[in-house]
Amino acid sequence: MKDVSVSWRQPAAAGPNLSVPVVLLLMVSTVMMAVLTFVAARSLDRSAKASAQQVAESLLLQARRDLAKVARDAAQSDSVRTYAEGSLDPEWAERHIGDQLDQIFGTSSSWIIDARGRTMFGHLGREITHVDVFEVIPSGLGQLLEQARTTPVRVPTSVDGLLLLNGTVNVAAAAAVPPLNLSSRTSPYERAVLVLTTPLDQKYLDLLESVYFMSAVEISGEGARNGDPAIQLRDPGGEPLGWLVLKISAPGTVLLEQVWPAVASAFASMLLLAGLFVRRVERARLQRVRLEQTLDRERDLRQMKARFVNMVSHEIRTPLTTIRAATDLLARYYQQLSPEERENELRAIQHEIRVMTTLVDDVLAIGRTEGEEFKLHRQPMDLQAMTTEIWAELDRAHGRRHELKLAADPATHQVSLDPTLLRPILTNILANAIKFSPEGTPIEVDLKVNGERVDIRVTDHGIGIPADQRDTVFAPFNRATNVGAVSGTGLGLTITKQSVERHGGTLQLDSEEGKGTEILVRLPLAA
Amino acid sequence: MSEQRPKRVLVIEDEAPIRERMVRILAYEGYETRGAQNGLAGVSIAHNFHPDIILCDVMMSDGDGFEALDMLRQHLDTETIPIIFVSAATERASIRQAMENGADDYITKPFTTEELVGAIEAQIKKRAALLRRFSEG
Repeated sequence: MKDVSVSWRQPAAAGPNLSVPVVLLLMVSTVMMAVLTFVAARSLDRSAKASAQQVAESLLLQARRDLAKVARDAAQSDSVRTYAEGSLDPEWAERHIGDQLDQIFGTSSSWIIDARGRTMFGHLGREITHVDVFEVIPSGLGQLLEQARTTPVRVPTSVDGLLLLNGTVNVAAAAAVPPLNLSSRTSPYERAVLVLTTPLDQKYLDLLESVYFMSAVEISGEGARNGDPAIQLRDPGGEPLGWLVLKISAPGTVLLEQVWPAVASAFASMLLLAGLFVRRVERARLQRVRLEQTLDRERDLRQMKARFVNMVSHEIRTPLTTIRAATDLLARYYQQLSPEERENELRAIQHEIRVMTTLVDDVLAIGRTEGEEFKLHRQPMDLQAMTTEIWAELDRAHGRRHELKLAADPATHQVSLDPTLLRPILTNILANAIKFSPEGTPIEVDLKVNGERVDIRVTDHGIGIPADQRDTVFAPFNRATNVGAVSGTGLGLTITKQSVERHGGTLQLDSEEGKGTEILVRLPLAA
Repeated sequence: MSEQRPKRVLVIEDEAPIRERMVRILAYEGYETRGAQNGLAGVSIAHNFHPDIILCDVMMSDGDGFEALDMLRQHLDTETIPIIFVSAATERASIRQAMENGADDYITKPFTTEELVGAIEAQIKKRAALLRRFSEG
């Protein structure tokens, strides 16, 4: 038999010196980075919206204050005071008050409300208008005029607010215009009012857009849409005029739009890397498992081979030694031997040849086990008789050292079994009981017919089988570690189990090391 | 040293059929022989029998040949007796192990009478030469 040599070494490390945990850590870091970026971006967006609203409100206030200042200063000027006084004469006013006011103030409309408060002269578009204030008074203008009327005429002051004129939101400012000659008691009026309005127009919106992150602003009847910040516009009376909706290009979102592809790309790379590593690691693991399985099989085979060699070494050489010694005795000292001694030597040779033949048969029987179909040949037979016959043979061969305690059911005299299978079963179980029990201890054999099956129970009080070897003792050439130098092939239990299985039966082994062994074989009496 | 006394051979072997035949063959070959079925019995017999050589099986059911060798080497009257191991184990490792443990020779089973006698005689001659040199000073 060729010697099988297998060396074991660790499989070469698969791939670069990185491990799955490192890749997973990188992936987790990437995800965390993405989450942090997202949170920061949302925060930046919120802050940008708040800032945009503040800026818009501030600019709106500034626009109102700027117009209010113009109105306040203008109301004190001689020219406006002249116009105011002139407004008392409609004809004069038509000639003199017109777009000149707008040219002066750069506003879209300007009115001077006469001292009586009944008419106003102003410029709407390019037409000089002379209208009844209270017929055309826009929403909120009343409150503005009222405030302007009640301010002290001697102190330059103005009021401001938002008005809806012809469907357009306007910034408006009103200031009291004192008479030209304040000290004159002959002044025909106590005060006039200068009203300047200018639409909250594209100029203002453009200004807003130029500031900060606003991509667009619009005046809308609706409030905050799509989460855009918005400022509600109201006239001095508190009536809603609309919304100033600020469309901002959220910087956080812009940032995210730039960062996301990079993050996604990094994450995908990590995922790919991790997948590759997992695959490689799994492949390496499978290779290792397969290698280990192969090595296990090799090891089992080597062990079986070693056991076989040991068995052959001892179990063949021992009878051969007796044969050779006997033949030497006969060949060299024939004349000195008595006829009885010669007869003894021949019988010894015959016995040892039988032993070796049985051994060879056993080995061949095990070798034939695999893949061979077996046909059961039942025939009526006397189980009890076969048991006592085999016992007598074995007992004699082992020096009659034990007592057989046989308890047999009468029905076992006539059972239908295959004797070619039964003989090795009984021989091996009884031989083991004899070989591994101290001299003088009884061997109990119980034969029973239980319905459609026969139970063969053999109990000894011998060395027993170590708990961890109760399965392995059935492997070919395998012997329990506590057998010492008691001779044996390690095939007995293998053949027994194989024969029991071929007979469609079961074998139970109950053993305690140092106490003894009980083997129960159950064979069906019919197929 | 008297050349008249037959040389004494002790056979320690647990297999009775082998032991008995070795004892008889060696007796026919002119040796005074005794047999022992295990190492302990062999050591006990050796103390009284004073064998010139001991043939000892290695694998025995009741204590192996190495244990017997150790016991024999521990006593003054048996420590110098040549010991030949007789074993069914034929591997080189088994033979080396036996020699390293102090065996004087190693015979594998099955053996011929010539091999057995040849090994015994070789050891007896060797021992006689040593004793002669020792006594000559």
